[in-house]
Amino acid sequence: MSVCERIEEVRDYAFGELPEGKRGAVEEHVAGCAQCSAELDGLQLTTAALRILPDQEIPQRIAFVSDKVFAPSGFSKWFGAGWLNFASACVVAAGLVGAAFAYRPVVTIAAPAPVVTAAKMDVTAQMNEAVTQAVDQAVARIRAEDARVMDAALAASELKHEKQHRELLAAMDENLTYLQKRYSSVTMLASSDAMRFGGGQ
Amino acid sequence: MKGPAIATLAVLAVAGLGFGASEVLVPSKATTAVENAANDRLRAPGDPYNLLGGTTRCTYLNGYGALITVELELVAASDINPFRPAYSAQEIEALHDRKVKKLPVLKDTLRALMVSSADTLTSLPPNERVAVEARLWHFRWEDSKGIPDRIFMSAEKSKLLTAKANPAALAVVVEEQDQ
Repeated sequence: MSVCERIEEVRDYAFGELPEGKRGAVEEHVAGCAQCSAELDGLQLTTAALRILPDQEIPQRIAFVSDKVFAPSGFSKWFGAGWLNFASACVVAAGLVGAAFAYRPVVTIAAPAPVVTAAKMDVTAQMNEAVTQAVDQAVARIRAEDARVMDAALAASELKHEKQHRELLAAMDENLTYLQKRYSSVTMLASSDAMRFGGGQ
Repeated sequence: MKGPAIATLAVLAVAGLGFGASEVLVPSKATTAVENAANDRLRAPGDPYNLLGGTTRCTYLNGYGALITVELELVAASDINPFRPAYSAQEIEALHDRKVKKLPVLKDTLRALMVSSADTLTSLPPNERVAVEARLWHFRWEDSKGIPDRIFMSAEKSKLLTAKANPAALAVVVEEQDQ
């Protein structure tokens, strides 16, 4: 089947790229061209489907681990060469020695224990609350997104069925017109033949 | 009061005479004969056309000539119905090919119809025309590229009768418009 020569204009129209002055002519053409009408409906369906996709930002830059920007500086190389580990070990050792001299075992163990437990429980409760809130927000966001996607899908489906319904009605109307014309011809020809050849009353 | 009434009656009488004269010029018996011949020709066995919207009609237009009008389906195609909801692309293409091939046959038939009508309409003045308008039916789902919606042919009666024995000359004499 041949392609209508105005199909490109219809595509520009569907994507809103046609100048305002030409839109009327294309709408008029589409009303009378089944092929362009089907193309326009298809494009509108596609753009409706595209609208339901979430917008995502494009990364500003893609870097590789081998890039120079990730190469360690001289200080990092010196710092990472084992000095940090050694210094940390020294600080921990000094702390242990100081603690052994400064505190007697009985006092240090008995008194602070309840305070530490209460603080831990407080932190745990806050964390639980924060996690619950975050989960609730995430669930609500996902549900809203699902609802939006479902609405868009339903709208696209309705559009498609409306188009099918419209096409069916147009075909039925055309068939009815054809049958009326055919019936009219058959009856008139039969009547005419009957008058000519004496088959009638 | 009498003056205008008499004048009106006189005008009506003259108009009636004119109408009567045109009726006499090409009698309805002659136009009916043309219609019957056209119906028979278009329904001839073999690969007939589907006549639509009644039968062929022949009308005499005073001062112009005889106008024959007909609406038809070039190739009989089934309509779309619940038992036949759609046609495949191959079927649509095949139908289009059949119609394109049959279009010249229809035009030959219409030219022959014009000649036979010129013969039949003996009282038609030789300087007046015999014209045929055929409207072709297309379904929306069809590929109608290259197939006109309307074919209009006309020729002067005297030229038709002169060229009737020569198909090539006939094709030159008959003016044709496809729309």
